[in-house]
Amino acid sequence: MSDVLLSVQHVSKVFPKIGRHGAGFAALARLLAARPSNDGFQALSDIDFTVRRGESFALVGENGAGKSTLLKIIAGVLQPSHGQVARVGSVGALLELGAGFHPEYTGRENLKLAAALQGLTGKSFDAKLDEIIAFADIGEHIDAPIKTYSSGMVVRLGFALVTALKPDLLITDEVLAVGDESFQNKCIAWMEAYLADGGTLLLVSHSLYHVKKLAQRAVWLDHGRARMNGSANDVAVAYQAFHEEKQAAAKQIAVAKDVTALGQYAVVTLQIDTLSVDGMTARGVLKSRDGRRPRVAVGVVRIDGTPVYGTTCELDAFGLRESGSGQFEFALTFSDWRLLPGVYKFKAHAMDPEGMRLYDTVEREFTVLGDSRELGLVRLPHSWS
Amino acid sequence: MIDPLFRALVDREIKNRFLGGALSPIWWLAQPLLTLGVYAIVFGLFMRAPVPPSYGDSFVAFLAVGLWPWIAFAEAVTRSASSLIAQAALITRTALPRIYVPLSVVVVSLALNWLALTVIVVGFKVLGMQVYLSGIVFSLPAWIALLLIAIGLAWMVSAAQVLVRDIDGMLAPVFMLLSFICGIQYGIDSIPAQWRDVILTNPFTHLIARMRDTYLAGAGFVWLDAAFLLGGAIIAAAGYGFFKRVAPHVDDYL
Repeated sequence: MSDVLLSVQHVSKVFPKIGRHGAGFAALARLLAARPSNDGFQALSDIDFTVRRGESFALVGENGAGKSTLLKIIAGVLQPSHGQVARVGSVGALLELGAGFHPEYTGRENLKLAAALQGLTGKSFDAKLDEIIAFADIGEHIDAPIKTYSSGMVVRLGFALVTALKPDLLITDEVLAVGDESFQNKCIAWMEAYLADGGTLLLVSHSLYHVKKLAQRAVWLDHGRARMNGSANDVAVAYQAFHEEKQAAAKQIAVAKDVTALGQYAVVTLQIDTLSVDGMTARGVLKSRDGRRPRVAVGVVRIDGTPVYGTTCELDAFGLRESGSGQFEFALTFSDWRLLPGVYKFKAHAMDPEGMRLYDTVEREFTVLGDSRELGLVRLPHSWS
Repeated sequence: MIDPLFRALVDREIKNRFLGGALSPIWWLAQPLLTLGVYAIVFGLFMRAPVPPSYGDSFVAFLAVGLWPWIAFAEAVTRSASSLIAQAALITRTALPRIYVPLSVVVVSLALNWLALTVIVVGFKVLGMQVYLSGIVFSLPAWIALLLIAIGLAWMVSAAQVLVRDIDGMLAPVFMLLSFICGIQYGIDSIPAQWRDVILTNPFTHLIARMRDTYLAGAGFVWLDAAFLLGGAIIAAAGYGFFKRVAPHVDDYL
């Protein structure tokens, strides 16, 4: 169970600089002389890790960190500039949306070449074709050209092919983000069954939820370097924290922008001061054009918009403090809020003094850290007996 | 055992040719026939190029047997030049063996044109012209040599084209020049003596002559065939070496 399926040894990749008119004879001569060029864009430097059979491994990192380049090298599409990749056993790769599919050919015709590319040919392909088409669940579209497909249908087809292959090592690059929810769930369910059967997974995902759920180990790529290599949980937490810091910086800029908000009543500043697993403190300033005291409605929603909680100062019988001419401020503390780890938004709306009309909405994104794998939005106090 | 991936690419290449336009199902035969018609009018009627006596008396047959292999060859290399770029989506995203991409283009070009000429030669025979059906067999070494040369060149130009995008534009005039200096449109006898030696140093002149010897004069295998095959193999090997050096890096430039 512990044999190494994939070993990535000191892999670096340099993309040469190319001008508008191609590379020219000099580059051609350099390739023919087998002298690699060392100037250019360093997409990856000295990446080193191994994946053992039965393990699941994730790559996280920002856009442009080199994740896809690394996956392409692992899948054998790209050649590394330095270092090497050793693979054992069959590899199934879902690299990009519709990779290997030609828009002019039908789904069925495309499957044939795509399957051959992954090593599924002849009779064994014919035997599995119905299974693939059934999993993709795209009905009669299978005989229509791929160019008529929606992006979701293309992903379905690509994923369906992989399910039929059951490769020793499955490589996926953020492709699941495209399908609809029910198909995503179907894919996740399939992946979990695949992993339970001893399958090995290497995935790139921006969803730390998926990373934590599906992977045991992870590498965090930052500007082509491995910034962290460890358990999926540790890496996910560190990566999340890094993002939060970045967002905090972005928020300062956003605050400055909101000052120009127009309207009778408006939220001019909103900021989160402290944030932890247990609660949050925030404050904000509202502007009133007619000098009357506005009211504020606040709420917490999940990043996808699912409401968690909302209230208004009116409900809590709190009146905003006047802090200057036409400026009204508030501070708010949430304590012991039991939010589960994830990304949320804190929202504030300016309302008229009667609490009838909503004038303005300002949002701040925040992330609750943690490695809990409970589901849902909040932790409901409970006990087993 | 042919790699199913290569077969799939050949399938696609054939489909590409036949699914494109309304006329594509007959184009593989019609296009060389039209070219043949143009040359037959210009060189046969206007310029009255004589047919060397050993090749019978039909200028059209003389022209067809020389022109067709050349069209096949030139088309194969020219089409393959842009093949890697045309398949960029496939080769930059999948582990498709790149070597197959130009290879499939060449194989399909030569196979279709060979088939077309075979049909035409049988047609000439039915019409009672001087052709030898045995030539269909005895011309095979020359065809295979042509195939090997085309494969070698295709590997070179397709890989080079990715880096130097002007290559395919240069190919048309080069092939046009070459076609005029290997005696396709006229017998070598009609060239002034001082130039004839120059023309005879062009290996394609001899390859075209072999085609005519087999189809039009009923010649059998000769030792020259082995030389052609050897030369073809050398060019194919050189092309292979070129491709192996350059092709792994083409994604950087696609």
